[in-house]
Amino acid sequence: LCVAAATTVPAQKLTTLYTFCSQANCADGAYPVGSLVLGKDGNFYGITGFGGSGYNKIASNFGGGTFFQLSPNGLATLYDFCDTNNCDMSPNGSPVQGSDGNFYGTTGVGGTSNNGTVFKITPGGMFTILYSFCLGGGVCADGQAPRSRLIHGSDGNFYGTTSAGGTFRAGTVFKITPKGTLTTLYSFCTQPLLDCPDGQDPLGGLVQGSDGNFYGTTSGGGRGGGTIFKMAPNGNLTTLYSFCGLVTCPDGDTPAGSLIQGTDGDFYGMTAFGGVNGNGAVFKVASDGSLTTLHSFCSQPLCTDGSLPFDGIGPPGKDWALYQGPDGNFYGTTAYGGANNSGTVFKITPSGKLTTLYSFCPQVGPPNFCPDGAVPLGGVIRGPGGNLYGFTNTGGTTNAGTVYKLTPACTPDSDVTSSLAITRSGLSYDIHSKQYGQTLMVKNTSGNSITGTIYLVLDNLSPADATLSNAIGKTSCSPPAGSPYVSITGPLNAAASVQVALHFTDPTNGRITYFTRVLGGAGQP
Amino acid sequence: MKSVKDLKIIFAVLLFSLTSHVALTDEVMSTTINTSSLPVTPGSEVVFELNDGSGLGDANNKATLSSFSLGGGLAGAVDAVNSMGGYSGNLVSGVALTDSSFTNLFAQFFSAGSTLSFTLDLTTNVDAGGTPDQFSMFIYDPRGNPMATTTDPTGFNSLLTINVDSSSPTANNYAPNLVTVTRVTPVPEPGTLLLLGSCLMSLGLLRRKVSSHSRSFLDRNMKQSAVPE
Repeated sequence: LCVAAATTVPAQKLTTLYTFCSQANCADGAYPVGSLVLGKDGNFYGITGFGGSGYNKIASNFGGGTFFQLSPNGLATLYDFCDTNNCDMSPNGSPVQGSDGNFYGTTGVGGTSNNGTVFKITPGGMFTILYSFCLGGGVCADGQAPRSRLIHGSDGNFYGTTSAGGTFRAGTVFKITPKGTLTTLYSFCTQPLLDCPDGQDPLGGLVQGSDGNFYGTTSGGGRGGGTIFKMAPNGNLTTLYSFCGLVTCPDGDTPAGSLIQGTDGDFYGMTAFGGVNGNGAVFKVASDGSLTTLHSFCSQPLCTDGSLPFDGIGPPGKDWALYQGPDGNFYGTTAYGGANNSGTVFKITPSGKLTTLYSFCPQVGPPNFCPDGAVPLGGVIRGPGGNLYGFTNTGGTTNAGTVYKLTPACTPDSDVTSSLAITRSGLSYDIHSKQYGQTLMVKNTSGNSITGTIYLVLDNLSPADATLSNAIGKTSCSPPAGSPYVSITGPLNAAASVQVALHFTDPTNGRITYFTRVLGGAGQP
Repeated sequence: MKSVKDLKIIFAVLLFSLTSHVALTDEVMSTTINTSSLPVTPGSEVVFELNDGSGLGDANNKATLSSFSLGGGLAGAVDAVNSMGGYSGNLVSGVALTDSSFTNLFAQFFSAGSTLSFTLDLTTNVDAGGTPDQFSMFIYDPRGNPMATTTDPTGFNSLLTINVDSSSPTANNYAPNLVTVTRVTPVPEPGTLLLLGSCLMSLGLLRRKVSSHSRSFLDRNMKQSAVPE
């Protein structure tokens, strides 16, 4: 079934936005970790695990990593983790931007007792350690070695996990205020003699469900293959599912990334190992704990459908997560497998049909290694233009990792203009906004309902310096390309009408002309 | 016979012009806006527009605004920075807008009184091409904000628009709690009257010619009948 459910689609366009180690001695960072973050200012932010000022390959010093911003102007290193006294903080990726605009994250080591930290960093690069773990020594009851992202809770505090420490030395769930006051909410492995049925060693982050509870995973414990848990804000923990009830773990083994809650209310995630083929799996779990393994990687010959969602080096704690697109499908990465065994970007439907969107490294070997990148980690996010953005941990012309943009192949929308009657009003001019306004009455004359998102497109907008200022995008998939459009909330039932407002800038007050086109259906404008 | 044909053609052309190309009437509307919410200090601004739907500046419509009353307020300076296109006049002498450009906009500052009222006489020649000429009116407070949030679907908070999409267009009153628009008995356009007069004259001329021709025809036939075969 899984073999039949995995396909590959051509014509995905990958663009390398940045190659790390482009600067001397990798001052711009190397080997990015976690996921890219789209900042509130529209720029991307992220963390590299190595590189920065301490990088000296000859001396086997790979630097402490960097915090960077990637804007249309290029990459700016905002903070060098080697600037502190400790050049080995092992920063985890996927910093979360708080409501104050600052970014918050964790390091696996470093801090006062070198057992990891929670830090805050401003968009300008001012770094502050909010909390150093294991200040009390001993078993590190407050936690040790966090390996995942933080999340911003609905109460304004941040929540995360540590992979070790806690009362039972098996990891914790903690809450920390923006000012750095930490509360340990739960310590895993309350029953060590029973091999930690409540889980141990959480490597992934948390997600706050729509019910206000927190959901996460542990990489071990349970029945041996890790657990999925639900935790109330007061720390009451419920184990929803334990992996590896069967010896071969066909349901998955070692869930390590973060979960996300789908629009259907269920939680979706990946395991590092297990599945039918032992190379990891995608699963969904309902809030009552019922689990469905949606896809087992390596279901196709030579693992062309992807293999292992982590880099396989050390503990799988380089945090990842699936991303749900506006089409309802989930998007993610595998570190290996694919057509060239250098990793994939994939799409999977909520019912488990997996499509490989891109296989990295069609050109293998030095001196260019995999110029388009290799070993994508951390998953993808959706950014400007509806494109997918992510990291590769290695590859690129320097083999130190890349930031890439993947433009998915598209399906054009249907032209439904002939099903509609469009009546234009005249134009009025607002002297303060310097914009022209016009309304169009769009009436469905076809006798059939037009469903889905409907786009009103203005082709051949003239004069050349005129713009449709309330456009939500420009056509890229339904030719002609580059025409601005606004959306009409569907469905538009038979004989129904809707009024659409258009705003134009026209600096020279020239004659505004255009042709209207209306798109509908399941494609893209 | 030839002269009768010519007259028929002239008549047909005149009739066609009368029915197809020339508005039979203007729209005349008495408009009053409650401006009591505006501060009495100078700096409020009223804007009238008559923008050309064809975009070519075809000058086929005119908006004449007269009989202004500011309800105790005072007219200020014409806003020459924002006014553009085919406009003339002011709030004292009256304002005229012609769609001789794509955008024809008159703006003038004023100190608000209790009301602002005027009579609007708008010709109603429909443009070809699908986008009608549009008359619209805005009032802004001294800070440049719209006087009120209105139901203007563009979101620009105009108070009133009239799309010249028929010989009897509808006035869209987007602030009925502030604006009163009353239709006044339509008055034929002078040009229309001229054409109508020409047409009637042509009809009279045609009758006379036809009568004369008929008499000649009868006379000729009578003479022919008198000739033996």
